[in-house]
Amino acid sequence: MKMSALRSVTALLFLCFSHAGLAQSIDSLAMSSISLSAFVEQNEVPQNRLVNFVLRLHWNGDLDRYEVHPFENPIVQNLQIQGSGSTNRVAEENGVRQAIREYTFTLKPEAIGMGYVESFIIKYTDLSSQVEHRLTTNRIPIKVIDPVPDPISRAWFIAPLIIVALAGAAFYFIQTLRKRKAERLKRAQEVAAMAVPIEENYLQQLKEIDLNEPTLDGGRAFAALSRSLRRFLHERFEAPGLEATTTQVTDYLHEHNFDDRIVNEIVEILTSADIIKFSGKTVDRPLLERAYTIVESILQKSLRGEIPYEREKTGNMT
Amino acid sequence: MSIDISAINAKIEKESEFIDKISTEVSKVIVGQKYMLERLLIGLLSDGHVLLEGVPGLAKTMAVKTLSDTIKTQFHRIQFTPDLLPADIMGTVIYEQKTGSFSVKKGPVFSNLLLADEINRSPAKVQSALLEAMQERQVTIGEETFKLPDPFLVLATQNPIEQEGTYPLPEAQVDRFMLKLSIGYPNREEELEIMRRMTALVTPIAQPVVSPQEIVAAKKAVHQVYIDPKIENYIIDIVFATRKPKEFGLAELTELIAFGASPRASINLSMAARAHAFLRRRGFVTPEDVRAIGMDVLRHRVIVTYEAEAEEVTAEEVVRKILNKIEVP
Repeated sequence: MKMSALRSVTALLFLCFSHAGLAQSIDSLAMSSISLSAFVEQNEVPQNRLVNFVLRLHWNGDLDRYEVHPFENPIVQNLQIQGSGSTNRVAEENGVRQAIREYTFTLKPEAIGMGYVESFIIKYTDLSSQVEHRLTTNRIPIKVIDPVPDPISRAWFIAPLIIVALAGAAFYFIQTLRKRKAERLKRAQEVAAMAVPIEENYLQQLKEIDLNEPTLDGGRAFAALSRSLRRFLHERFEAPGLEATTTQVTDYLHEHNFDDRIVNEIVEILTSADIIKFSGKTVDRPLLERAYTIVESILQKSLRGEIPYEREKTGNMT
Repeated sequence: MSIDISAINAKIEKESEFIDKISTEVSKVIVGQKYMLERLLIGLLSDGHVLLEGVPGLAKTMAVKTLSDTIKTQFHRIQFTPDLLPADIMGTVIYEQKTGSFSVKKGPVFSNLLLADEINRSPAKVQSALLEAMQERQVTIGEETFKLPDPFLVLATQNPIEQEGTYPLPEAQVDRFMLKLSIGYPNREEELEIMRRMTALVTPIAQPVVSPQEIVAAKKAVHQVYIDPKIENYIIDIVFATRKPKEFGLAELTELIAFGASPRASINLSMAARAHAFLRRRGFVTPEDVRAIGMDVLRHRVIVTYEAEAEEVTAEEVVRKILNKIEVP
């Protein structure tokens, strides 16, 4: 009888130790109804990864059959405990109710080499008999190996490539824009080269006023002359447009250092036009002819580039 | 209709002779401020009252006083204070114990030139009484109505910086002033001359050189200054642009203007432009006259929105944009 009992114990011991990385308590040998398994999910772990150490208590019956006493964290070497958790679950196997309580510790390796989870004791009480028992785990080794590259470091490796690609795209975009701008400028220059000078247009308009026409309305003709002159000054020399008064136009010409003779001629035309337009004064033929000649002469001079002026406003003029 | 512009010019030349005399006399006392003096004359010649706004010490009161000195006419100055009553300006009916009857005591409003100094220091009832007299040109005391003398010109001053204890003129009442002038500081040379002149042993005094009859005749001549339909339409364009800016290519002003100028603005702009031409000895109005006087006629008649105030856009800026945009005929 004694021999058969010893054989049973030996068989149980063999079963428990045959499980990879397992520990088995001495008490569990005596109390086959509860067993403790302690194992790590991987025996080898890269230095920059985590590994779980699991303590699993397993017994037949309900969860409240045993009371497991609180215990401290296991002692570890070359490892750090990052976190822990516990779960309870109940199952039925071949009509037998089974309870499982599991404690999980997340471990972080410290240096390459060997790490260990030292053996420790778990105490529990059988609530049916109120007897306290203990279970002990084995020392569990974990091999810490070289770190593996993580996704972030791979991204850093890829980032320069992305930057280079973006820079290339931007360069291409800028080059395309430059090319288009240059083409537009070239076209504009070609158009400008082909375009008729402003002066030619205004001279053409001037020719439409027939001074020899007997039914010519002098007032209207004079107003048209002054209007053409003001439009021309605005287009060619950026003088104030039709919204400006004669004084404003005159001030502009002085400020931009136009030749005094030209300014006097322009003032003469614009002032006379004001008098004719707003005082009801009739226009005599010599006055109209003089105005015509002056406007024509200004246009001709401008066409020959003989009207110098300063594009920027001068400070010394009043 | 044929216009004899040379006859009008000759008349204007004759009637405007006193302008130089006034300018000479005023310049004995006032240094610079030609802009202000010219506008005061425009008000005098076109029956338009003038509101002068400027910080203290810019010779606003002195300019008005000096102008009145040059005209052989009645001048009264009223210092507006919070305790002033309408009767203090208009006059009242008093009981005479000796005769046992009531008699009318006319107030200072019965004068040719009335200086309402710091008009915004009196409450609304006093301002209203004066502004009504300005518009109607008559005053009722007791049961009798009295015509005010001709010329009758109110020149009111107000200070833009001291707002505590003041009663700002309502928009409807400000509209009764033909011109609102914004008086600025003199330049360096002018200020030097002011300092020398005012610290001299003898203070200069302007002599009377014009009679009220001459002013009345000049006023008639101003009415005869020719204004072409093109100029009239230009004025209407400007005033309408304050009401419907979008139609004049100024859509950006639509959100900035709460109320545009009233028809009184068109009337006043036309009259003020005539008076401006008269001062230039011209028998006809040009766009220059309208542009020169436009800001003074319109700056107090365009009311800007809260949005404009939030963006610090003033009525002056709005008017300037309009004047710079509307095409001259």
